Amino acid sequence: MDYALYLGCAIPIKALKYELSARNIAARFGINLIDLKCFTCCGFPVKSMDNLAALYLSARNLVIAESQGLDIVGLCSGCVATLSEAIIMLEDINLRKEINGLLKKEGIGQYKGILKVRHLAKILSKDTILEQISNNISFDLTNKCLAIHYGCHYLKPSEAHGKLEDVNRPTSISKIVKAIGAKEIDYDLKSQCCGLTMMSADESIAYQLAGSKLKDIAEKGADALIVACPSCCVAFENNQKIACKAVDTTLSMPVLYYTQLMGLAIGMSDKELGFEFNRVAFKW
Amino acid sequence: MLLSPNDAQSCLKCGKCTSGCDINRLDPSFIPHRLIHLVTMGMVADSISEYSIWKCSTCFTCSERCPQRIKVTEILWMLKEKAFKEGKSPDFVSKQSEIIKTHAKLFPISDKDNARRQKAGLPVIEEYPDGLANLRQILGDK
Repeated sequence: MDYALYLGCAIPIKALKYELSARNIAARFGINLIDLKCFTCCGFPVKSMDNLAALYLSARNLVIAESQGLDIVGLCSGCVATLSEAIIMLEDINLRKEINGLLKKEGIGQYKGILKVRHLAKILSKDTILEQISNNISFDLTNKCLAIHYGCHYLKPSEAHGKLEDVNRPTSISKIVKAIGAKEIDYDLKSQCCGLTMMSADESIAYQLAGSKLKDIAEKGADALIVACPSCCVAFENNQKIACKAVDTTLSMPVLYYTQLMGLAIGMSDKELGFEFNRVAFKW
Repeated sequence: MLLSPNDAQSCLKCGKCTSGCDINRLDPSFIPHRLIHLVTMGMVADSISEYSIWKCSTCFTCSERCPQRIKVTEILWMLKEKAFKEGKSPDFVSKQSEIIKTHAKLFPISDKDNARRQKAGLPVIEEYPDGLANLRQILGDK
């Protein structure tokens, strides 16, 4: 299956381990991620400045993939939510006309509305792939207790994500954890935001949000936190020390992307999974 | 259609948005239903003067919970947009706007980033050559 790989702004700089493991695990399961030129920002940060400009940015990225006859696969939950919301907004004929006018000026073709946008985790959590994973386990993770942080934009707005899963009881990444044989732990602050998107407005609250979640999962006995978005990973991994300090604790909690976890279970190499870029060391 | 203040009119002032808000739990000065209330009262000018609108984490929990299906997160974006256009946004927003206008990305990629990518076995990402004229026009050249 061919998809246009939409990386967005953060992944190519801040999430090399995610990009590496995503590309390699996708290839392993016959998912062909194609790099296209001229993708720009998804539009998310521009919503605070001009909502039409934000929609134009989303639309031009959609058109770049659509004109190649490809659906988009995204790795960043914020990008996936923003591009998916744009698809719904562009169902409005007048708004589509206005945006297509801007696209015509740029000379990159017109938005037709025939493509889909999916998060890679939604594709990798399909039963056919998870069955192959379960049948090819070469690294034992049965003694590991894992906490999942689904993250806000991975699930919401539910309308943009096609209401594919219950926002209060998500299952896609849980199915991945189950397939690799580990145990998923439940915890009180599971649906709490990582805080990164409001970091610039109020650092103290952002750190408390990330820190309280890390503290919660540590108390419930988690061996690691599993994430699906580069922003969440920065909040919990890069900022771990200061986030923990904000809630008066010290932790050393490994943070792994679901793609790294899947690859680890089926015996892919550390290099393929980008483990050299994990900031909190772990020996499993 | 892009949102307008009218899209908040059906608010019941029930406070369900606020009671589910992670930010409100840690910072009681951020009160989503109060901001929506100001909008329904035609007091947009007052709402955009409140710094708290920038504390929204855009988690969409409020929009999901609203019994009237008001897009609370999106209404807050509308308020931020108005604040930005009236020069009432915090400095970080204008800084982000300048970066995006120049590079069409929030995190432009440098030669050093690309060297690091190549070392890791990842393809080089091309910097967007001239930004985007449309974007500069909508956001306004300074």
